[in-house]
Amino acid sequence: MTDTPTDAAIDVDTLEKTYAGDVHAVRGISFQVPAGEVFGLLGPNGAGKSTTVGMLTTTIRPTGGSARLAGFDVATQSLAARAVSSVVFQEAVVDRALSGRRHLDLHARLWRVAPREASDRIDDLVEVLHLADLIDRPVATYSGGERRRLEIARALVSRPRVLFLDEPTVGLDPRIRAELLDVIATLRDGAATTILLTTHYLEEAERLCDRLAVMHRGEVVAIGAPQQLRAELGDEVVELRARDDGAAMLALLQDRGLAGPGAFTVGATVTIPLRGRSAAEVIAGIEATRVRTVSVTSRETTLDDVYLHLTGGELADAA
Amino acid sequence: MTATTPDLALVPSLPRSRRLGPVLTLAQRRFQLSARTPRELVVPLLTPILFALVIAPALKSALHTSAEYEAFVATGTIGLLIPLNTMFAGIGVLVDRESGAQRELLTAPISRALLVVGNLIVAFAITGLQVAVLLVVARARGIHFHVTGSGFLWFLAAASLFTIAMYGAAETLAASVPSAEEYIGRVPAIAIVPWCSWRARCSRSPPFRVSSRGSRASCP
Repeated sequence: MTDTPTDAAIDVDTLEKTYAGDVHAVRGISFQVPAGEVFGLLGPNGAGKSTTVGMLTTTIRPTGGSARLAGFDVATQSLAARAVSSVVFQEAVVDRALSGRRHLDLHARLWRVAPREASDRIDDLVEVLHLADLIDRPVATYSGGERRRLEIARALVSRPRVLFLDEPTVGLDPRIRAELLDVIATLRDGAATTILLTTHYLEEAERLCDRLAVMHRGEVVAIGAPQQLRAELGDEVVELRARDDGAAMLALLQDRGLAGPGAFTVGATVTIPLRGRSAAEVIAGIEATRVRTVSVTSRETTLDDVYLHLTGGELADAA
Repeated sequence: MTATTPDLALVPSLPRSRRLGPVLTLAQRRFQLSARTPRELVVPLLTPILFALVIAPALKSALHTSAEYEAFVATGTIGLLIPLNTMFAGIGVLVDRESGAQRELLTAPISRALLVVGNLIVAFAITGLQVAVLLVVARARGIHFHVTGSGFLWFLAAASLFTIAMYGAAETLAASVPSAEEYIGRVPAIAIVPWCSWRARCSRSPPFRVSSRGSRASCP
Protein backbone atom coordinates (compact mmCIF):
# COMPACT_ATOMS: atom_id res chain seq x y z
CA MET A 1 0.00 0.00 0.00
CA THR A 2 1.67 3.20 -1.15
CA ASP A 3 1.61 6.43 0.84
CA THR A 4 2.72 8.55 -2.09
CA PRO A 5 0.10 10.46 -4.07
CA THR A 6 -0.91 9.10 -7.44
CA ASP A 7 -1.87 11.20 -10.45
CA ALA A 8 -5.59 10.77 -9.84
CA ALA A 9 -6.89 12.92 -7.01
CA ILE A 10 -9.92 10.66 -6.76
CA ASP A 11 -9.72 7.04 -7.84
CA VAL A 12 -12.89 4.96 -7.47
CA ASP A 13 -12.85 1.29 -8.41
CA THR A 14 -16.07 -0.79 -8.40
CA LEU A 15 -17.25 0.98 -5.28
CA GLU A 16 -20.49 -0.30 -3.87
CA LYS A 17 -22.80 0.11 -0.91
CA THR A 18 -25.56 -2.29 -0.01
CA TYR A 19 -27.73 -1.63 3.01
CA ALA A 20 -29.65 -4.16 5.08
CA GLY A 21 -32.64 -5.52 3.24
CA ASP A 22 -30.60 -5.86 0.04
CA VAL A 23 -30.88 -2.16 -0.76
CA HIS A 24 -28.25 -1.38 -3.40
CA ALA A 25 -27.53 2.29 -2.97
CA VAL A 26 -24.35 2.25 -5.08
CA ARG A 27 -23.65 -0.57 -7.51
CA GLY A 28 -20.00 -0.99 -8.36
CA ILE A 29 -19.16 2.44 -9.79
CA SER A 30 -15.74 3.39 -11.15
CA PHE A 31 -14.23 6.71 -12.18
CA GLN A 32 -10.99 8.68 -11.85
CA VAL A 33 -10.63 12.41 -11.37
CA PRO A 34 -7.27 14.04 -12.17
CA ALA A 35 -5.90 16.70 -9.87
CA GLY A 36 -7.38 20.15 -10.41
CA GLU A 37 -10.51 18.98 -12.22
CA VAL A 38 -14.07 19.86 -11.28
CA PHE A 39 -16.00 16.62 -11.54
CA GLY A 40 -19.75 16.40 -11.24
CA LEU A 41 -22.06 13.63 -10.12
CA LEU A 42 -25.37 14.35 -11.80
CA GLY A 43 -28.59 12.55 -10.97
CA PRO A 44 -31.90 12.83 -9.15
CA ASN A 45 -32.43 12.24 -5.44
CA GLY A 46 -31.90 8.58 -4.67
CA ALA A 47 -29.40 8.03 -7.49
CA GLY A 48 -26.58 7.33 -5.04
CA LYS A 49 -24.67 10.62 -5.21
CA SER A 50 -24.66 11.43 -1.51
CA THR A 51 -23.92 7.81 -0.63
CA THR A 52 -20.92 7.96 -2.96
CA VAL A 53 -19.73 11.15 -1.28
CA GLY A 54 -20.31 9.55 2.11
CA MET A 55 -18.05 6.65 1.20
CA LEU A 56 -15.35 8.93 -0.21
CA THR A 57 -15.42 11.06 2.94
CA THR A 58 -15.32 7.95 5.18
CA THR A 59 -18.64 8.64 6.89
CA ILE A 60 -20.18 5.60 5.19
CA ARG A 61 -18.36 2.28 5.03
CA PRO A 62 -18.30 0.70 1.55
CA THR A 63 -19.49 -2.86 1.22
CA GLY A 64 -17.35 -3.49 -1.86
CA GLY A 65 -14.69 -2.02 -4.10
CA SER A 66 -12.18 0.64 -3.18
CA ALA A 67 -11.56 4.36 -3.39
CA ARG A 68 -8.53 6.59 -2.95
CA LEU A 69 -8.16 10.28 -2.29
CA ALA A 70 -4.76 11.62 -3.38
CA GLY A 71 -3.50 8.06 -3.16
CA PHE A 72 -4.85 7.29 0.31
CA ASP A 73 -7.32 4.42 0.59
CA VAL A 74 -10.51 5.63 2.28
CA ALA A 75 -10.99 2.32 4.08
CA THR A 76 -7.47 1.45 5.25
CA GLN A 77 -5.92 4.94 5.40
CA SER A 78 -9.00 6.86 6.45
CA LEU A 79 -7.15 9.39 8.63
CA ALA A 80 -4.80 10.33 5.80
CA ALA A 81 -7.69 10.48 3.34
CA ARG A 82 -9.62 12.82 5.63
CA ALA A 83 -6.53 14.98 6.13
CA VAL A 84 -6.36 15.81 2.42
CA SER A 85 -10.08 16.47 1.94
CA SER A 86 -12.94 18.62 3.14
CA VAL A 87 -16.69 18.42 2.69
CA VAL A 88 -19.55 20.85 2.34
CA PHE A 89 -22.61 18.75 3.09
CA GLN A 90 -26.06 19.13 1.65
CA GLU A 91 -27.62 19.68 5.07
CA ALA A 92 -26.55 22.34 7.52
CA VAL A 93 -23.55 21.12 9.51
CA VAL A 94 -22.97 23.81 12.08
CA ASP A 95 -23.04 24.55 15.80
CA ARG A 96 -25.63 27.30 15.84
CA ALA A 97 -24.45 28.73 19.13
CA LEU A 98 -20.89 29.30 17.96
CA SER A 99 -19.68 32.22 15.86
CA GLY A 100 -18.56 31.84 12.27
CA ARG A 101 -14.98 32.61 13.24
CA ARG A 102 -15.09 29.89 15.88
CA HIS A 103 -16.19 27.40 13.25
CA LEU A 104 -13.26 28.31 11.02
CA ASP A 105 -10.86 28.18 13.94
CA LEU A 106 -12.14 24.77 15.03
CA HIS A 107 -11.72 23.36 11.56
CA ALA A 108 -8.17 24.73 11.38
CA ARG A 109 -7.26 23.13 14.70
CA LEU A 110 -8.78 19.76 13.91
CA TRP A 111 -7.01 19.70 10.56
CA ARG A 112 -3.83 20.77 12.39
CA VAL A 113 -3.23 23.95 10.43
CA ALA A 114 -0.45 26.04 12.00
CA PRO A 115 -1.89 28.92 14.05
CA ARG A 116 -0.24 31.69 12.06
CA GLU A 117 -1.27 30.19 8.74
CA ALA A 118 -4.79 29.55 10.05
CA SER A 119 -5.17 33.18 11.09
CA ASP A 120 -4.03 34.49 7.70
CA ARG A 121 -6.10 31.92 5.87
CA ILE A 122 -9.25 32.77 7.80
CA ASP A 123 -8.77 36.47 7.09
CA ASP A 124 -8.34 35.75 3.37
CA LEU A 125 -11.42 33.56 3.21
CA VAL A 126 -13.55 36.02 5.16
CA GLU A 127 -12.64 38.68 2.62
CA VAL A 128 -13.06 36.53 -0.48
CA LEU A 129 -16.39 35.07 0.62
CA HIS A 130 -17.76 38.36 1.97
CA LEU A 131 -18.20 37.18 5.54
CA ALA A 132 -16.69 40.18 7.31
CA ASP A 133 -20.02 41.46 8.62
CA LEU A 134 -21.09 38.04 9.84
CA ILE A 135 -18.03 36.26 11.01
CA ASP A 136 -18.21 37.19 14.67
CA ARG A 137 -21.95 36.61 15.02
CA PRO A 138 -23.50 33.30 16.11
CA VAL A 139 -24.32 31.10 13.15
CA ALA A 140 -27.93 30.94 14.36
CA THR A 141 -28.33 34.49 13.02
CA TYR A 142 -27.17 33.61 9.50
CA SER A 143 -29.42 33.18 6.49
CA GLY A 144 -29.23 29.99 4.42
CA GLY A 145 -26.91 31.52 1.84
CA GLU A 146 -24.65 33.07 4.48
CA ARG A 147 -24.40 29.77 6.29
CA ARG A 148 -23.51 27.99 3.09
CA ARG A 149 -20.75 30.52 2.34
CA LEU A 150 -19.40 29.96 5.85
CA GLU A 151 -19.40 26.20 5.27
CA ILE A 152 -17.44 26.67 2.04
CA ALA A 153 -14.98 28.91 3.85
CA ARG A 154 -14.62 26.34 6.59
CA ALA A 155 -13.92 23.57 4.10
CA LEU A 156 -11.19 25.66 2.49
CA VAL A 157 -9.36 26.62 5.70
CA SER A 158 -7.24 23.49 5.55
CA ARG A 159 -6.39 23.93 1.82
CA PRO A 160 -7.77 20.51 0.91
CA ARG A 161 -6.47 18.66 -2.10
CA VAL A 162 -9.98 17.32 -2.64
CA LEU A 163 -13.11 19.34 -1.90
CA PHE A 164 -16.53 17.70 -1.85
CA LEU A 165 -19.57 19.87 -2.50
CA ASP A 166 -22.71 17.82 -1.89
CA GLU A 167 -25.66 19.62 -3.49
CA PRO A 168 -24.28 22.99 -2.38
CA THR A 169 -27.15 25.12 -3.68
CA VAL A 170 -30.17 22.96 -2.88
CA GLY A 171 -32.90 24.76 -0.98
CA LEU A 172 -31.53 28.22 -1.69
CA ASP A 173 -33.46 30.91 -3.52
CA PRO A 174 -32.39 31.74 -7.09
CA ARG A 175 -30.46 34.88 -6.19
CA ILE A 176 -28.46 33.15 -3.49
CA ARG A 177 -27.89 30.19 -5.79
CA ALA A 178 -26.49 32.47 -8.46
CA GLU A 179 -24.14 34.12 -5.94
CA LEU A 180 -22.97 30.78 -4.64
CA LEU A 181 -22.30 29.51 -8.15
CA ASP A 182 -20.12 32.57 -8.65
CA VAL A 183 -18.23 31.65 -5.49
CA ILE A 184 -17.73 28.08 -6.57
CA ALA A 185 -16.68 29.20 -10.04
CA THR A 186 -14.08 31.38 -8.35
CA LEU A 187 -12.75 28.32 -6.55
CA ARG A 188 -12.31 26.39 -9.77
CA ASP A 189 -10.60 29.33 -11.49
CA GLY A 190 -8.15 30.24 -8.77
CA ALA A 191 -7.14 27.10 -6.93
CA ALA A 192 -5.59 23.75 -7.80
CA THR A 193 -8.03 21.93 -5.54
CA THR A 194 -9.88 19.01 -7.09
CA ILE A 195 -13.60 19.47 -6.65
CA LEU A 196 -16.26 16.77 -6.69
CA LEU A 197 -19.68 18.34 -6.98
CA THR A 198 -22.98 16.51 -6.70
CA THR A 199 -26.07 18.15 -8.09
CA HIS A 200 -29.35 17.62 -9.87
CA TYR A 201 -29.31 21.13 -11.35
CA LEU A 202 -28.30 21.10 -14.98
CA GLU A 203 -27.04 24.66 -15.11
CA GLU A 204 -24.69 23.98 -12.20
CA ALA A 205 -23.26 20.94 -13.90
CA GLU A 206 -22.86 22.67 -17.25
CA ARG A 207 -21.37 25.82 -15.79
CA LEU A 208 -18.96 24.35 -13.26
CA CYS A 209 -17.93 20.86 -14.27
CA ASP A 210 -15.07 19.86 -16.54
CA ARG A 211 -16.52 16.37 -16.66
CA LEU A 212 -19.46 14.71 -15.06
CA ALA A 213 -20.85 11.27 -14.35
CA VAL A 214 -24.56 10.66 -14.77
CA MET A 215 -25.87 8.43 -12.00
CA HIS A 216 -29.09 6.48 -12.04
CA ARG A 217 -30.22 4.00 -9.39
CA GLY A 218 -26.74 3.54 -8.00
CA GLU A 219 -24.95 3.16 -11.32
CA VAL A 220 -22.90 5.45 -13.51
CA VAL A 221 -24.62 5.41 -16.88
CA ALA A 222 -22.34 7.91 -18.66
CA ILE A 223 -19.14 9.86 -18.06
CA GLY A 224 -17.81 12.76 -20.07
CA ALA A 225 -17.63 16.50 -20.52
CA PRO A 226 -21.06 18.17 -20.68
CA GLN A 227 -20.56 19.10 -24.33
CA GLN A 228 -19.41 15.59 -25.15
CA LEU A 229 -22.46 14.01 -23.55
CA ARG A 230 -24.78 16.38 -25.38
CA ALA A 231 -22.96 15.74 -28.63
CA GLU A 232 -23.97 12.09 -28.48
CA LEU A 233 -27.51 13.27 -29.10
CA GLY A 234 -26.52 16.05 -31.47
CA ASP A 235 -26.72 19.81 -31.00
CA GLU A 236 -30.47 20.04 -31.50
CA VAL A 237 -33.60 18.06 -30.83
CA VAL A 238 -37.17 18.29 -32.02
CA GLU A 239 -39.70 18.02 -29.24
CA LEU A 240 -43.37 17.39 -29.84
CA ARG A 241 -46.28 16.88 -27.54
CA ALA A 242 -48.82 14.36 -28.71
CA ARG A 243 -52.56 14.70 -28.17
CA ASP A 244 -52.80 11.00 -27.61
CA ASP A 245 -50.29 8.27 -26.78
CA GLY A 246 -46.67 9.45 -27.02
CA ALA A 247 -45.30 5.93 -27.38
CA ALA A 248 -47.61 5.17 -30.30
CA MET A 249 -46.61 8.42 -31.97
CA LEU A 250 -42.93 7.62 -31.54
CA ALA A 251 -43.44 4.20 -33.09
CA LEU A 252 -45.20 5.81 -36.04
CA LEU A 253 -42.43 8.38 -36.55
CA GLN A 254 -39.77 5.70 -36.35
CA ASP A 255 -41.68 3.68 -38.91
CA ARG A 256 -41.69 6.68 -41.26
CA GLY A 257 -37.95 7.18 -40.77
CA LEU A 258 -38.42 10.52 -39.00
CA ALA A 259 -37.15 9.37 -35.59
CA GLY A 260 -34.02 7.29 -35.06
CA PRO A 261 -33.32 4.72 -32.33
CA GLY A 262 -32.09 7.49 -30.02
CA ALA A 263 -35.53 9.12 -29.85
CA PHE A 264 -37.43 8.70 -26.59
CA THR A 265 -40.76 9.51 -25.06
CA VAL A 266 -41.79 10.65 -21.60
CA GLY A 267 -45.52 10.63 -21.19
CA ALA A 268 -46.99 12.54 -24.13
CA THR A 269 -43.71 14.25 -25.03
CA VAL A 270 -41.56 12.79 -27.80
CA THR A 271 -37.97 13.98 -28.17
CA ILE A 272 -36.11 13.31 -31.43
CA PRO A 273 -32.32 13.94 -31.52
CA LEU A 274 -31.50 15.44 -34.90
CA ARG A 275 -27.88 14.28 -35.09
CA GLY A 276 -27.00 16.62 -37.90
CA ARG A 277 -30.34 16.62 -39.69
CA SER A 278 -32.23 19.80 -40.34
CA ALA A 279 -34.95 20.69 -37.83
CA ALA A 280 -37.08 22.17 -40.61
CA GLU A 281 -36.85 18.93 -42.58
CA VAL A 282 -37.91 16.79 -39.63
CA ILE A 283 -40.73 19.12 -38.63
CA ALA A 284 -42.00 19.20 -42.21
CA GLY A 285 -41.96 15.43 -42.27
CA ILE A 286 -43.90 15.26 -39.00
CA GLU A 287 -46.53 17.66 -40.30
CA ALA A 288 -46.86 15.62 -43.48
CA THR A 289 -47.82 12.58 -41.44
CA ARG A 290 -50.79 14.56 -40.07
CA VAL A 291 -50.23 13.15 -36.59
CA ARG A 292 -52.21 14.86 -33.86
CA THR A 293 -49.86 17.10 -31.87
CA VAL A 294 -50.25 19.86 -29.32
CA SER A 295 -46.95 21.49 -30.22
CA VAL A 296 -43.79 20.89 -32.24
CA THR A 297 -40.60 22.81 -31.48
CA SER A 298 -36.86 22.56 -31.94
CA ARG A 299 -34.31 23.52 -29.31
CA GLU A 300 -30.75 22.87 -28.14
CA THR A 301 -29.93 19.55 -26.56
CA THR A 302 -29.71 19.70 -22.75
CA LEU A 303 -28.30 17.38 -20.14
CA ASP A 304 -31.87 16.54 -19.22
CA ASP A 305 -32.27 15.06 -22.69
CA VAL A 306 -29.08 13.09 -22.12
CA TYR A 307 -30.39 11.83 -18.81
CA LEU A 308 -33.81 10.93 -20.22
CA HIS A 309 -32.18 9.14 -23.14
CA LEU A 310 -29.97 7.14 -20.80
CA THR A 311 -32.43 6.40 -18.03
CA GLY A 312 -35.96 7.22 -19.10
CA GLY A 313 -36.39 9.44 -16.03
CA GLU A 314 -36.24 13.21 -15.59
CA LEU A 315 -33.67 14.96 -13.40
CA ALA A 316 -36.12 17.60 -12.20
CA ASP A 317 -38.76 15.11 -11.11
CA ALA A 318 -37.18 14.40 -7.73
CA ALA A 319 -35.88 17.93 -7.12
CA MET B 1 -16.97 39.22 -6.20
CA THR B 2 -13.31 38.99 -7.15
CA ALA B 3 -12.56 36.98 -10.26
CA THR B 4 -9.20 35.69 -9.17
CA THR B 5 -8.04 34.51 -5.78
CA PRO B 6 -4.31 33.92 -5.85
CA ASP B 7 -4.30 33.48 -2.07
CA LEU B 8 -6.33 30.35 -2.49
CA ALA B 9 -3.70 28.60 -4.55
CA LEU B 10 -2.39 25.34 -3.17
CA VAL B 11 0.92 25.71 -1.29
CA PRO B 12 3.25 23.07 0.09
CA SER B 13 2.21 21.76 3.52
CA LEU B 14 3.38 23.86 6.43
CA PRO B 15 4.40 22.70 9.90
CA ARG B 16 1.34 21.63 11.89
CA SER B 17 0.38 23.08 15.27
CA ARG B 18 0.89 20.91 18.32
CA ARG B 19 -0.03 23.61 20.73
CA LEU B 20 -3.64 22.55 21.19
CA GLY B 21 -4.21 18.91 20.34
CA PRO B 22 -7.45 17.70 18.79
CA VAL B 23 -8.71 16.24 22.08
CA LEU B 24 -8.44 19.56 23.86
CA THR B 25 -9.96 21.28 20.83
CA LEU B 26 -12.96 18.96 21.01
CA ALA B 27 -13.23 19.42 24.77
CA GLN B 28 -13.05 23.16 24.35
CA ARG B 29 -15.85 23.02 21.79
CA ARG B 30 -18.01 20.88 24.06
CA PHE B 31 -17.39 23.21 26.97
CA GLN B 32 -18.32 26.24 24.90
CA LEU B 33 -21.56 24.56 23.88
CA SER B 34 -22.33 23.36 27.42
CA ALA B 35 -21.46 26.50 29.35
CA ARG B 36 -21.97 29.52 27.17
CA THR B 37 -23.15 31.64 30.07
CA PRO B 38 -22.30 31.69 33.81
CA ARG B 39 -25.85 30.48 34.45
CA GLU B 40 -25.13 27.22 32.65
CA LEU B 41 -22.22 26.59 35.02
CA VAL B 42 -23.92 27.70 38.22
CA VAL B 43 -27.29 26.00 37.85
CA PRO B 44 -25.91 22.43 37.81
CA LEU B 45 -24.17 23.22 41.11
CA LEU B 46 -27.49 23.89 42.80
CA THR B 47 -28.34 20.18 42.85
CA PRO B 48 -25.58 19.06 45.21
CA ILE B 49 -26.07 22.15 47.36
CA LEU B 50 -29.76 21.35 47.59
CA PHE B 51 -29.04 17.81 48.67
CA ALA B 52 -26.51 18.82 51.28
CA LEU B 53 -28.30 21.82 52.77
CA VAL B 54 -31.96 20.97 52.38
CA ILE B 55 -32.77 17.39 51.52
CA ALA B 56 -30.37 15.62 53.90
CA PRO B 57 -31.43 17.59 56.98
CA ALA B 58 -35.09 17.32 56.00
CA LEU B 59 -34.84 13.57 55.67
CA LYS B 60 -33.05 13.34 58.98
CA SER B 61 -35.81 15.30 60.70
CA ALA B 62 -38.61 13.48 58.94
CA LEU B 63 -37.21 10.07 59.70
CA HIS B 64 -36.08 11.01 63.24
CA THR B 65 -32.65 9.52 62.64
CA SER B 66 -29.24 10.41 63.99
CA ALA B 67 -26.65 12.72 62.53
CA GLU B 68 -25.12 9.81 60.69
CA TYR B 69 -28.00 9.89 58.24
CA GLU B 70 -26.84 13.25 56.85
CA ALA B 71 -23.47 11.70 56.22
CA PHE B 72 -25.13 8.78 54.51
CA VAL B 73 -27.10 11.11 52.26
CA ALA B 74 -24.00 13.15 51.44
CA THR B 75 -22.03 10.18 50.21
CA GLY B 76 -25.07 8.58 48.62
CA THR B 77 -25.76 11.77 46.69
CA ILE B 78 -22.42 11.41 44.96
CA GLY B 79 -23.64 8.10 43.62
CA LEU B 80 -26.68 9.88 42.21
CA LEU B 81 -24.87 12.93 40.86
CA ILE B 82 -22.41 10.97 38.82
CA PRO B 83 -24.85 8.87 36.77
CA LEU B 84 -27.41 11.64 36.34
CA ASN B 85 -24.83 14.21 35.29
CA THR B 86 -23.01 11.93 32.89
CA MET B 87 -26.19 10.51 31.41
CA PHE B 88 -27.59 13.97 30.74
CA ALA B 89 -24.26 14.98 29.25
CA GLY B 90 -24.99 12.41 26.55
CA ILE B 91 -27.70 14.70 25.22
CA GLY B 92 -24.90 16.72 23.66
CA VAL B 93 -24.20 13.79 21.34
CA LEU B 94 -27.80 13.81 20.17
CA VAL B 95 -27.72 17.56 19.66
CA ASP B 96 -24.57 17.19 17.56
CA ARG B 97 -26.25 14.54 15.46
CA GLU B 98 -29.47 16.48 14.96
CA SER B 99 -27.66 19.74 14.18
CA GLY B 100 -25.39 18.00 11.70
CA ALA B 101 -22.24 19.03 13.55
CA GLN B 102 -21.37 15.39 14.14
CA ARG B 103 -20.90 14.86 10.40
CA GLU B 104 -18.29 17.62 10.26
CA LEU B 105 -16.45 16.05 13.18
CA LEU B 106 -16.58 12.61 11.57
CA THR B 107 -14.77 13.95 8.51
CA ALA B 108 -11.94 15.42 10.59
CA PRO B 109 -8.54 13.68 10.37
CA ILE B 110 -8.70 12.45 13.96
CA SER B 111 -9.51 9.13 15.54
CA ARG B 112 -13.24 8.76 16.08
CA ALA B 113 -12.54 7.71 19.66
CA LEU B 114 -11.28 11.22 20.36
CA LEU B 115 -14.79 12.56 19.78
CA VAL B 116 -15.92 10.54 22.80
CA VAL B 117 -12.85 11.47 24.84
CA GLY B 118 -13.36 15.17 24.20
CA ASN B 119 -16.92 14.98 25.49
CA LEU B 120 -15.85 12.81 28.41
CA ILE B 121 -13.33 15.39 29.56
CA VAL B 122 -16.03 18.02 29.95
CA ALA B 123 -18.53 15.62 31.55
CA PHE B 124 -15.81 14.48 33.95
CA ALA B 125 -14.85 18.04 34.83
CA ILE B 126 -18.41 19.21 35.46
CA THR B 127 -19.21 16.09 37.48
CA GLY B 128 -16.03 16.54 39.47
CA LEU B 129 -16.99 20.14 40.15
CA GLN B 130 -20.40 19.07 41.43
CA VAL B 131 -18.90 16.42 43.70
CA ALA B 132 -16.37 18.89 45.04
CA VAL B 133 -19.10 21.45 45.73
CA LEU B 134 -21.17 18.81 47.50
CA LEU B 135 -18.28 17.81 49.74
CA VAL B 136 -17.41 21.43 50.53
CA VAL B 137 -21.01 22.31 51.38
CA ALA B 138 -21.42 19.11 53.40
CA ARG B 139 -18.30 20.00 55.32
CA ALA B 140 -19.61 23.49 55.94
CA ARG B 141 -22.88 21.94 57.07
CA GLY B 142 -20.99 20.21 59.84
CA ILE B 143 -20.18 16.81 58.40
CA HIS B 144 -16.54 15.97 59.03
CA PHE B 145 -14.83 13.64 56.62
CA HIS B 146 -11.94 11.93 58.31
CA VAL B 147 -10.02 11.12 55.23
CA THR B 148 -7.37 8.46 55.15
CA GLY B 149 -4.83 8.23 52.37
CA SER B 150 -6.06 4.91 51.09
CA GLY B 151 -9.66 5.91 51.56
CA PHE B 152 -9.21 9.07 49.53
CA LEU B 153 -7.48 7.20 46.74
CA TRP B 154 -10.19 4.55 46.80
CA PHE B 155 -12.83 7.23 46.58
CA LEU B 156 -11.07 9.01 43.70
CA ALA B 157 -10.57 5.80 41.77
CA ALA B 158 -14.11 4.61 42.35
CA ALA B 159 -15.70 7.92 41.46
CA SER B 160 -13.50 8.33 38.37
CA LEU B 161 -14.20 4.86 37.07
CA PHE B 162 -17.88 5.27 37.85
CA THR B 163 -17.95 8.55 35.89
CA ILE B 164 -16.16 7.05 32.91
CA ALA B 165 -18.39 3.98 32.89
CA MET B 166 -21.57 6.00 33.10
CA TYR B 167 -20.45 8.34 30.34
CA GLY B 168 -19.72 5.29 28.23
CA ALA B 169 -23.27 4.18 28.86
CA ALA B 170 -24.47 7.64 27.87
CA GLU B 171 -22.60 7.61 24.57
CA THR B 172 -23.83 4.09 23.83
CA LEU B 173 -27.42 5.03 24.55
CA ALA B 174 -27.16 8.26 22.51
CA ALA B 175 -25.86 6.30 19.54
CA SER B 176 -28.74 3.84 19.69
CA VAL B 177 -31.81 6.06 20.20
CA PRO B 178 -33.24 8.22 17.42
CA SER B 179 -34.35 11.25 19.44
CA ALA B 180 -33.57 13.33 22.50
CA GLU B 181 -37.05 12.69 23.90
CA GLU B 182 -36.52 8.96 23.94
CA TYR B 183 -33.08 9.42 25.44
CA ILE B 184 -34.36 11.58 28.28
CA GLY B 185 -37.10 9.08 28.99
CA ARG B 186 -34.57 6.32 29.53
CA VAL B 187 -32.08 8.25 31.67
CA PRO B 188 -33.73 7.98 35.11
CA ALA B 189 -34.13 4.23 34.87
CA ILE B 190 -30.53 3.78 33.78
CA ALA B 191 -29.13 6.22 36.36
CA ILE B 192 -31.01 4.79 39.36
CA VAL B 193 -29.52 1.30 39.11
CA PRO B 194 -25.87 2.27 39.66
CA TRP B 195 -26.91 4.71 42.37
CA CYS B 196 -28.44 1.87 44.36
CA SER B 197 -25.26 -0.12 43.90
CA TRP B 198 -23.17 2.85 45.03
CA ARG B 199 -25.22 3.27 48.17
CA ALA B 200 -25.09 -0.44 48.93
CA ARG B 201 -21.33 -0.43 48.45
CA CYS B 202 -20.98 2.62 50.62
CA SER B 203 -22.95 0.99 53.40
CA ARG B 204 -20.77 -2.15 53.41
CA SER B 205 -17.29 -0.61 53.20
CA PRO B 206 -17.17 3.15 53.53
CA PRO B 207 -14.31 4.80 51.63
CA PHE B 208 -13.72 7.18 54.51
CA ARG B 209 -15.18 7.76 57.89
CA VAL B 210 -17.57 10.61 58.31
CA SER B 211 -19.04 12.29 61.34
CA SER B 212 -21.14 15.27 62.15
CA ARG B 213 -20.40 17.70 64.96
CA GLY B 214 -19.74 16.01 68.31
CA SER B 215 -19.86 12.41 67.14
CA ARG B 216 -18.01 10.02 64.92
CA ALA B 217 -19.89 7.64 62.76
CA SER B 218 -19.26 5.41 59.80
CA CYS B 219 -21.25 5.64 56.68
CA PRO B 220 -24.00 3.04 57.47
